[in-house]
Amino acid sequence: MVIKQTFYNHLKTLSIAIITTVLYFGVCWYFEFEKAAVVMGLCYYALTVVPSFFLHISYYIRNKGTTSEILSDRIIIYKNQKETVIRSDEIKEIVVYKSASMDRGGIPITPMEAYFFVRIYDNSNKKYELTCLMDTNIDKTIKVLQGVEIFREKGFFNMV
Amino acid sequence: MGDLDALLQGAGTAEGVIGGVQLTMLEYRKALPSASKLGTFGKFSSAYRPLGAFRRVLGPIGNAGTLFSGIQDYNSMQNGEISAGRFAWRTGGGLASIGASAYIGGQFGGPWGAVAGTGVGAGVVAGEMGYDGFMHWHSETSKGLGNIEKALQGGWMPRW
Repeated sequence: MVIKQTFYNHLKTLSIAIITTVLYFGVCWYFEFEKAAVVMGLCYYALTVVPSFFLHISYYIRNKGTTSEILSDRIIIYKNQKETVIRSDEIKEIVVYKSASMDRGGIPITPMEAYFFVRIYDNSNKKYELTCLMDTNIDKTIKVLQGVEIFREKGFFNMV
Repeated sequence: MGDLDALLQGAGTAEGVIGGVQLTMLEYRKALPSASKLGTFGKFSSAYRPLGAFRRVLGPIGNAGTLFSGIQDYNSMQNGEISAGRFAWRTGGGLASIGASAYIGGQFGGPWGAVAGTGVGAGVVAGEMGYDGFMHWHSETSKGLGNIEKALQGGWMPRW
């Protein structure tokens, strides 16, 4: 499966941030943008939404211009016209960093919970990261790879 | 204003209630003997999933409800209806509720985050009621003791 950053992936990942922004804006509008409402709105926004923009930018930079192909026996990463092939027997482990609230039946409370990624460690401990901006189901897609141990790290703020 | 406040706060409460219903459904299904579970997953899933989808919408609304209540409390403080301490307690409680939801949801997934957030919110309300109850008791006891002191100074002696 070939994965890369797309507008749809950006939009889907940002959806909770967009909904929260609209609702916060609506609350401030309801209070006629009085100073206290705007200041409190900005404080809440800084605590709950702004960190997700930090994650979004860092995820974007990490996978900018990267295309990856995940096959059952190898991962091929294309970046800056350079091809890196990682065979499954060269992979030490894969760790999925994802909030448990993004699993089925869970509920993301803040937009930052929507950000997750997989980190691939090869035998020489070199790291490769594939984020949800490349594939919004990257945690499931990576399971195509055979014979590799996949671990899960849960947390609501997954910094790449 | 009261209607919108009730609606937003209702959304936050509904989030917790739906989380609780999901938990109950899961625990009930877990407790069933294996023979009773066979062939019933489709039916269970069709009842369980819409609850999850509903809660995904309620999450950001509950979040905005916390901001709405915070602004209302600020205005109440400015009007002299509540003290600065009470405003700080309520605002801090609202933020703690969001934090608890995000953290617990991120670690344990499922409806636990919403349940934890609602639990913290209920704890904050209970704490405020407890404080009010204590202050009422303190004031009444002080009045009573003051009356006894006055009576003793006036020569009154209790009959044993």
